[in-house]
Amino acid sequence: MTGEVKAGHLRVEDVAAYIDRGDAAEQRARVEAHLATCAECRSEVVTVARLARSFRDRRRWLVTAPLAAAAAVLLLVFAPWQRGRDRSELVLREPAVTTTVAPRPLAPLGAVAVLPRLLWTSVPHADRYRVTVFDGNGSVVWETLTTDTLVAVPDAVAVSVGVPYFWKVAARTSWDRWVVSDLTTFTLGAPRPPQ
Amino acid sequence: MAAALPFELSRLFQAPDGPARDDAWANFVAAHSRLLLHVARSLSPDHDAAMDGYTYVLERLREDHCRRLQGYVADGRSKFTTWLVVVARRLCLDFHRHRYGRPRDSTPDAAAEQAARRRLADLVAGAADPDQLAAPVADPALSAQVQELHETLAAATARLDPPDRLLLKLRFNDDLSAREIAGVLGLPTPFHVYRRINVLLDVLRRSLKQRGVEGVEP
Repeated sequence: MTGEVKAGHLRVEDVAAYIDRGDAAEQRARVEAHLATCAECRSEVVTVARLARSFRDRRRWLVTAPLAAAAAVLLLVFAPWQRGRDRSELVLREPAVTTTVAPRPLAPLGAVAVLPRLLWTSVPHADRYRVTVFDGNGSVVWETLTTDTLVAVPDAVAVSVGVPYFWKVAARTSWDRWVVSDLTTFTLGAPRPPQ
Repeated sequence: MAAALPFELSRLFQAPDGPARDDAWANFVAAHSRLLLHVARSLSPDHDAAMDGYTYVLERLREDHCRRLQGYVADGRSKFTTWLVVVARRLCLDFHRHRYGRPRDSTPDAAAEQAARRRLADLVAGAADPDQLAAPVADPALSAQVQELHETLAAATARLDPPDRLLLKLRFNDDLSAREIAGVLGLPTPFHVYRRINVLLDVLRRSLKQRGVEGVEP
């Protein structure tokens, strides 16, 4: 174990010491003189140096890769440019529909002089509306389907004066999915006499 | 220069026979398994053969109360892991020779011939199959001149310092890149390798000129 190079080939400790540069200059020169003439030992030194380096690099990568990934995540989450940003500026299109609002009856409400048409608010993505008018007993007086948000009550529908009626509108937002408005009441008063 | 023995190694050497030694051995394997597998895989791309080699290395390291491992001296000359790579690689080579026999044409002459044919094949841009190339026709006069030229070059090279001779061997015999040579010789960058090679070639050129050699033609 003195580090003396034998006439044959380098010993294990000589190869390891040469790669780790643990030898004094004199011993190193002796090893190099041998390596310059011995292809087999030269090949061993080169191969072991490669192996040691690749293993070191691999271990470094195994250690640093998760740390780098964690650092990247933290950077994305807590980055300064993420903090002071006005979120409203980011809205480039209308938000996706996650909850559906029901249509809201606008007219007629309460006491009305005439009954020209029924009007309600629109519902996003609704492709049709079903309007139903009930009498005071809950019987359906009239019902219709439309794609618009207003509909005229036909003359054939007899609406008595001074009698409360109820109506509601349902909007279809997708296949067999309907959202229904609250039940709204109106009472038709006597038409004013012409002035 | 003395350095401490790695913990898992000293524990292994100090453990009494029985479960304590088994436990210490398991600890050693856990600590160095990746390194040993890395070495085994470098010698055989086939997974099963690599695992067989790895198993062989472990068996040899453990036999005779870890006789081989006890050969490591923590004198500060090298790290234990570097020493272990050398040992494991030698054991893996033994295993492969034992199982598959020595590779054919592994003599230096055959390797040199193979390298020369490879260079020749490269020159003709792969148009010819190296195995089909005819052996060079021997011209006695020319051969003598080539031999003389080689001897002159060898004499001039022999006058260089060992690190310089090794550098030239690594570059021109082993075809290593400047980066790898820098790693082996401990030079800071590949540029140091290039600069040193230029200096050495200049020295050799002058030395050959003094001996009457003016060009590469014999």
